[in-house]
Amino acid sequence: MLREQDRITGVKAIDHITGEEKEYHAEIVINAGGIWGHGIAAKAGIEVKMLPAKGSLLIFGHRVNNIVLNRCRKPSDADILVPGDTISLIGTTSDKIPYDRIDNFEINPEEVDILLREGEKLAPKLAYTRILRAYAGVRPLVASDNDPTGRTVSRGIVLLDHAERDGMNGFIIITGGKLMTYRLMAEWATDLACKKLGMDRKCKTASLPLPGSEDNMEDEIRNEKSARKKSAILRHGNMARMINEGNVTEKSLVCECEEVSVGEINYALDNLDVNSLVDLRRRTRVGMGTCQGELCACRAAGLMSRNDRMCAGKAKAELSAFLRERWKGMAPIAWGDTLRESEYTSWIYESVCGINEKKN
Amino acid sequence: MKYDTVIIGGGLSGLACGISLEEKGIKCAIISLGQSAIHFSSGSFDLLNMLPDGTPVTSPSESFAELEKMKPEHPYSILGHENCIRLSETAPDFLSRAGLKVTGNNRANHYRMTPMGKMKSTWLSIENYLTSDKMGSLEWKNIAIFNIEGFLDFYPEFIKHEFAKKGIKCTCHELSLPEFQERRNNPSEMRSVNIARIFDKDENIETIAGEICRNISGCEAVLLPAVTGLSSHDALDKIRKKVPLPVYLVPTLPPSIPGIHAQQALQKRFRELGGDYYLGDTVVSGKLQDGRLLEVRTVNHGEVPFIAGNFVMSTGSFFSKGIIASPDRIYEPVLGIDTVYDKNRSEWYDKDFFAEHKYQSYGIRTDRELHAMKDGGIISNLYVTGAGLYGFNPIKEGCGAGVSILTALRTAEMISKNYEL
Amino acid sequence: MNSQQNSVSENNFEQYIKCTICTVYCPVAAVNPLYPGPKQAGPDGERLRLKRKDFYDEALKYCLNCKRCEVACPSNVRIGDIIQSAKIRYSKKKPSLRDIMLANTDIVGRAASAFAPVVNGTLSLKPVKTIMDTVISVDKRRSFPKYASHTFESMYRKIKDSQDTYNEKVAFFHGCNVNYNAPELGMALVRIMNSLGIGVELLEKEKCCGIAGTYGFKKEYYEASQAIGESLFKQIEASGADIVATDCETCKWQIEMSTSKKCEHPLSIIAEYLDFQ
Repeated sequence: MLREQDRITGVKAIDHITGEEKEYHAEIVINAGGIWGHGIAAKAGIEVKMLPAKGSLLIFGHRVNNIVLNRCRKPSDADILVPGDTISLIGTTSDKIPYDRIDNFEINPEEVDILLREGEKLAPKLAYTRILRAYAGVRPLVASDNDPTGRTVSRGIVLLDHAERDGMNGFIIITGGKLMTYRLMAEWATDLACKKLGMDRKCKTASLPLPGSEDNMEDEIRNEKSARKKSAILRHGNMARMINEGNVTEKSLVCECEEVSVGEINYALDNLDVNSLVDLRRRTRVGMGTCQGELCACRAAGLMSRNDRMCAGKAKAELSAFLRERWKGMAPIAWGDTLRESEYTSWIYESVCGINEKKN
Repeated sequence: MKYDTVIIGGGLSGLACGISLEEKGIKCAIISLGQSAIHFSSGSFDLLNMLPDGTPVTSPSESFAELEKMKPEHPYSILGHENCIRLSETAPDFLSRAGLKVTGNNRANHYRMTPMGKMKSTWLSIENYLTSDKMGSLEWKNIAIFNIEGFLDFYPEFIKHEFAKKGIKCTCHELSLPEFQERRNNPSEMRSVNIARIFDKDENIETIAGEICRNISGCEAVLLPAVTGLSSHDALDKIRKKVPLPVYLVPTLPPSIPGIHAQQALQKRFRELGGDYYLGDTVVSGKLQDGRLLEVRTVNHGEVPFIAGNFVMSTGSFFSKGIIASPDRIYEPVLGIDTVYDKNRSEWYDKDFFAEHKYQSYGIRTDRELHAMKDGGIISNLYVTGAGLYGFNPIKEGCGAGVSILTALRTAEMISKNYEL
Repeated sequence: MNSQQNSVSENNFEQYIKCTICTVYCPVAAVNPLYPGPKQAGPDGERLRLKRKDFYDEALKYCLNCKRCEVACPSNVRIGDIIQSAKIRYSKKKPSLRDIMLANTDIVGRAASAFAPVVNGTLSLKPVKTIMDTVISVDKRRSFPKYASHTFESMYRKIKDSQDTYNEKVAFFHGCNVNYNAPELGMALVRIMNSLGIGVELLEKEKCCGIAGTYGFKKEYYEASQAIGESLFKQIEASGADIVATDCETCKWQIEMSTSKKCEHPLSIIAEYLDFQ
């Protein structure tokens, strides 16, 4: 953090793509770093005590429900079965983990057991539905300021003005909350920032549509016959109109599970800040289907190395990294068809393609 | 349904066993749930690329004895190094009798190219593949690589990158045909099989060869993806006649057209020798009595059992559903014969995707003569061959095809001895 | 733990691992670019259809349900069934007049037989075929089978009494084609059987046996299949025949399983008889 006495004036950061160190200056710095916000605040000499709470989820191969199913009981493990795009997921568990493990934790068999056992009570079908992967995130639970023992956790959104709390100007933190409340959190944070800047403006996020949702695309979706184009509109809203599918290559499918075309990938690479396969996955769902990257990862890597977007060597390294990342989520539940798929994936990449050969 | 031998599983191993038995005059049936894993192979057959301790193998025939000492439970060790040498010596002719022309031998591994442009060690390669004797050495300096427009399972840019490391310059081109345009309007994806069909038509060969010839000035060789014809087998020959440079094939991501041809050739050979191949049928149960398998029953044949003096289980590994993993155990689904695996599931895998995973070695337990076992007791007329066997890692050791073929040939020998007695 | 021991899904669609072997063997995908192919139409499409019903593609109609994909699939996915189920569940198309006509061979057969000479003459005329092509989408390049003026059943009635003189009897399950289009086949069978000293009986009112190829083999259709055939089974039991003859193998399996009679192809009966001579 760049600091002048009792004021934060900016940050010094490293650009992951170029490796350069850069400085950014501003009147207000907003710490929206989630669980990592603890470390960011610490760089300004401020303590915001966070109690990292790991929550695990299981993703099933296809939708088993079309509305959210929630158990009517006090919050506990595996309470909620949520349909999302082409899958359903069951979650969550809650385990406190030490702060130094937030970047390298694992999902253990006990968590998988709990999710399945409790999940089956919610939907008996889960006992025999294929599981694609297990994954976990860490919640930023913030310890209440008014409890010196640090054991009481603030539920809900936490917005702190460090000028008031710690005597440090130009620095606020917005954290806690849940994904469902993120726009409310944005509103609170920007309202506070504007107030501190002396601007008489209110946040408009409640009335502005998000990018892609400015038009109601329901008719277009319903009338679209091509599964590929339909999926693209469902993912990108009206921004899907920017996808070019003029020639044969652009129409080709990279990801068959999720119907992602070359055109869509090019669109993402050009417009959606995609610099790695993991970024690409997040923007287009490549690798999120039943095969978990078995074929599409290679195709996507091939695409990224074309047209000088990325050198071939880096694209191949990306491919290996992507496969490793996918495996992390499959290993905790690798039995049945998921194990078959993993064996096939290992076979394709190591035996047929020769990736990870010792010498060459 | 009475046969001398019934083979469960019609992939590389099952077919190799069946063909070998029929060549010896023993009447066989093969029952296969579906088409086999050869459809996904690279088109090359691996015998032994690496010892279990990580030492690379350049000469499998000279390494079998070493392997036997290192890993007594390996199927090659069960066969014994002398048998391994002898049987792998006969394999190329055996395959050639089935119409599969291969290059290579068991004394020195050669190298074949992968879809990513790397050179990988292997034993036998289907003719027309780009291979080299010494790693990385190809005599050309300038190569033209042709891909089909819209085909995403072939990577000229990766090949170019690898070749540049060896000082070889590559130019990449895309072949475009009006037929592709039409096909691409179809919502289905373009896989190797869709493209291969296009090479089945003579008029397309003309166009393709013409396109190639227009783009090869200054080049010494041409590389094409291995999709040259699905039902036809002479498309590449026709192209070679029209192109004045050597033309070679590079494998693509699966499905593998050479693999499909290999399966079809082996199936044809088996049938021509008089074997019965029941495709799309699943064995659901068997009758065991006094340490022998008397009969098996299948879905399609209902109440009519298959009765035989000998049975062979060549049902493959997890991929082919010869072995099934549930959250707490690994088992063989047809007869419940003994398997080997670690009780604790966490031991089945390594955290790193590219490390060796123990599950890849799990499989069916046998005695030293490849007899299956049930609850520790030997089933004297049930043999196990191929990927379903315990004790080897086909991916790390590079021995999948070798295990499939050698255990199949040896089993055929042992069964045929039973008849001589 | 007991859970997750098996993955159970409708038609095994979860066992799908994208191997694409089905596409290799699909006869429709090979020639019709409008057909999405067994993968996209089947298991891939199913995941999408579970998300939104309107992912259903009417192009699924091109699937022949020939089952080559199922025979080839190493994962035992019942691709053909997934596609047929999807058609039933999601297709908005109602059967057209043409579909009804082609499906109800009995009704059409009876009507056509009554006016056979006129019908046969008309259906072979080029302009008529062109009209049918345009109006009800029956391809004009196809030739129609000729309808007989007298149905097999009506011809049989004339010689019915003569069959009582035989000691051994066969019940002939003849089907629509013999009855309306090729009664001479039926009469030929009667002549051959009679020459072997076997009499031929017909059932009171033939009905579908319910097996419909592989339909009746499926657990979920078993009850329906047996219910469809019930009337036929009763008639077979009530008939005085020792054995049932039919030239449809799947009907044979069904009849043998569901009645106390043996069922054979007419040629088998003849061959067996000749063996005894």
